[in-house]
Amino acid sequence: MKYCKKCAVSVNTRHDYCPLCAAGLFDKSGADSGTLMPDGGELYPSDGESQTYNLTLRIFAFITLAGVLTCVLINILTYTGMLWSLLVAAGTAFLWAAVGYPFIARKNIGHHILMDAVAACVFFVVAQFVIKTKGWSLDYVVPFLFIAATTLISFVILVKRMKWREYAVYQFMTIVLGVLPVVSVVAGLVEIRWPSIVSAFYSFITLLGMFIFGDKKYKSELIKRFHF
Amino acid sequence: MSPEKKAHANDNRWFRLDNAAKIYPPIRSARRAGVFRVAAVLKAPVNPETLQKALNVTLSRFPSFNVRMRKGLFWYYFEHNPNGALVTPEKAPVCRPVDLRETKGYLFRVSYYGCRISLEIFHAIADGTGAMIFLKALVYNYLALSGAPVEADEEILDGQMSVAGGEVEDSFLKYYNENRKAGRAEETAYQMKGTRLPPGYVRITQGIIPVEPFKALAKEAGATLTEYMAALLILAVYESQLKGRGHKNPVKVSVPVNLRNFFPSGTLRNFSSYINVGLAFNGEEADFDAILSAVREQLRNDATKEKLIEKIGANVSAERSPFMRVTPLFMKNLALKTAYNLYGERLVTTTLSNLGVVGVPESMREHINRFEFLLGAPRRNTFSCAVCSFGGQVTVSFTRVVEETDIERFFFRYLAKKGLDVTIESNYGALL
Ligand SMILES: [Zn+2]
Repeated sequence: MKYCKKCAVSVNTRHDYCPLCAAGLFDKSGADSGTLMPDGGELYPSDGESQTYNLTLRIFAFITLAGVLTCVLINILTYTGMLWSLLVAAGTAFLWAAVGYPFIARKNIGHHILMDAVAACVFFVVAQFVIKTKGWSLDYVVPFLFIAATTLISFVILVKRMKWREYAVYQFMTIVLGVLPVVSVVAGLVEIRWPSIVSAFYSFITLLGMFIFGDKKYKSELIKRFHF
Repeated sequence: MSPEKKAHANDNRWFRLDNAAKIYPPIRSARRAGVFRVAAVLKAPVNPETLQKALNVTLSRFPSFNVRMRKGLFWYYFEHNPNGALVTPEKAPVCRPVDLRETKGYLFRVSYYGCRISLEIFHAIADGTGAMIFLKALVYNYLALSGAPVEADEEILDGQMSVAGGEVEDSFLKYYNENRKAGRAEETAYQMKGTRLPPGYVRITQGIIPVEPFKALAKEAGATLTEYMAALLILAVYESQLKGRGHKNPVKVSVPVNLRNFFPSGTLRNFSSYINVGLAFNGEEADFDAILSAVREQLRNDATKEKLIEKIGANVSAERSPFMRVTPLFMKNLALKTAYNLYGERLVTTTLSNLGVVGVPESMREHINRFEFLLGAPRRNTFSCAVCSFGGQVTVSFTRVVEETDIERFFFRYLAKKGLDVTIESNYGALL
């Protein structure tokens, strides 16, 4: 134990100076109580340092963004009635969602399947708009994309049964999206109706399956995720 | 229920975040960890293997601690964490953020260093009182597993979790009265100037003071320990930065209040509020007695059931408003973060949290040197102060993020001059 005459306090420390006033300390009878903390001074990552500078990612981001903007400029300068640069932009966005995003975020696979399905839908709807052909995207592509996504997540759930709850919420969101094509039927946006109806029906059957096999746990999982 | 089925039920258990907890996840960042520490300094070096066994036993008794945090569409929630928490050697800095990869999703960290067992915990899980109850049970289990003849009494939670006791309830909701809400407008407080330490550094200065003479000193001034210390902190701020010049913003100290003392509750989660006390200095000479009487009056005025229930009302009704409830989580996070950055910490100059006397069974006393309570590094404020007492000693712990030691020096010198026997410990050498 040591003593600071200026502060009139005892100091339990390994150091020779007072932690309060930096004056020299004097020895005092009485042993150190062995309660010291590790010396401060070790750094933990600060706000700035915690994010590492990912050069590869930045190069890809720069190339794709610059490329898309160049296409937009060329498209505008040589406009002949077709907005093909929009297609490039949507395609690039899809590639980022399908490849770039899983690479950066590394979320649960159900999350990525859901995001990919949504990104693909956006791409095909934009493509149809650009090419000005008749409604094949909403007629066929979107319903079958959701059927595929739902099936894929169901497959993941079956394979990774122990962790099924992790995927159940994405399964549920895909199911909800799978019902949406029916809205386009009701709104008269599609000519060929059966794929949309099949998609909604398939969603419903999957939901039924989840409730029957997942039992109360499925319900409680949904309550947990969507409580408000 | 069979044990197997029971374990299964535990796995499915999940909790909403309580009303006070909800602010911590959105504002969490590397520099605002939302972590505080309660620690026990034993009389013999800690054995890591025994501590690990004790943690396993304790954790199964405290389901609201045995969780990981997940995102729902509208709110975060806690669910059972199956990974099992590990004890680790203590690593500087004190109250560093909880790294979820390191803790396997747990929102607390149990570590050992010499004779000390520390529990560093994210505030969303529990408040100081709840964390201290967990720590006491951990220390009890540790001592019992080390072969010490300790006996649990009502201070120690052992055996089985009691749902009936409301240990995991959100007591804010229980005492919420939607017709009684306090207004929220409050003045920004004076922010101390100082040379910031590099990010990630904190300086801890602890003063250990005999409780009886300290209490007598406060009593002589007609105050409780908390009132006395709050006034002394304000005086320290005045003496170090506002003497002779004053400032338009008041110096304010946030004093957390344990709501369990006002409303019966056995919850181990958050159930505390706070009262901000302080006054502005206009450049004229200030003296301790005037500050103390102002602080005392404000504290006694606001620490009443009526006033506190209005505070609960304001917070709960904000959380339960239909608009707030249906806003997706990511938007809530953005809004809460922005609001907190704009107002939050600016409303106070510092925080003084007093956990009071830590009670343990007689049989445990001889094995424990003292208990400690420390707050994490503040973001905008320059320091905070946490207090608890045990075995006839008060431990006052300052956490500071600036080079200057003015506040602690003034605080402890003042008490030493009043004849108290002060022993200082710190986590740094004076010339670091
Ligand atoms: Zn000194």
